Amino acid sequence: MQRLHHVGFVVTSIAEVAVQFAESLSAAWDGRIIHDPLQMARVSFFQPATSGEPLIELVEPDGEDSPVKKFLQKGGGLHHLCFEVDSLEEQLNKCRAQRDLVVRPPTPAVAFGGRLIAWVFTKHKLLVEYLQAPKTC
Amino acid sequence: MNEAHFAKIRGIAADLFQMGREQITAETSPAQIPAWDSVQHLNLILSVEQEFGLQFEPEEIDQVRSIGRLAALVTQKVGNSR
Repeated sequence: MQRLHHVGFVVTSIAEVAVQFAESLSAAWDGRIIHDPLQMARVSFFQPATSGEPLIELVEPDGEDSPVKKFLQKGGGLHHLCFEVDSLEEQLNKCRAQRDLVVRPPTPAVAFGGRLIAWVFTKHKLLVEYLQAPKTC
Repeated sequence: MNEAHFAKIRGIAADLFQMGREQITAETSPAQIPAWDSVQHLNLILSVEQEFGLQFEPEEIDQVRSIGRLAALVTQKVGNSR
């Protein structure tokens, strides 16, 4: 199973744009800004008006060394798609087999309760984040 | 460093960052090229993978901090004969 979880969008400051951003998309924002030191970024999620639709994630760099800092200096904007998958390991094996670039090994993400994420740069130059779906008993 | 590998990588980098080949040296790093951001870094790695027919591990991608380092890594992976 693979489900589009969210679309990532890089901005200078989440706090400065969040309210207006939410209003412009008729999305709901819960006001939480989450710092993920492993990703060197702060993130926040917006829920579209229709339930069940993919979320929108705003991302801001947490310092000069953040991987999104230079992307931001070039204007920021649309950055990545995130897919939630049943098996992150299987997905990454598939990516390697089709010669996509696995950028980082799986790491726990603060924003998703420690669930693992991995970054892939496809051979068609799309940056994709894969998120391990919650395990069901 | 294998000069042939370096020359190919320098050409790839020059095209990607839209610079003259003579401006790219072994010491050239993201700090010197504004266009060398995280996405362009991945573009560079992908292009080098395709050029040399190899795959980098995530840890190796992180190690690439200069053109010279990238060339050395390629030589390490493919040897000097290719």
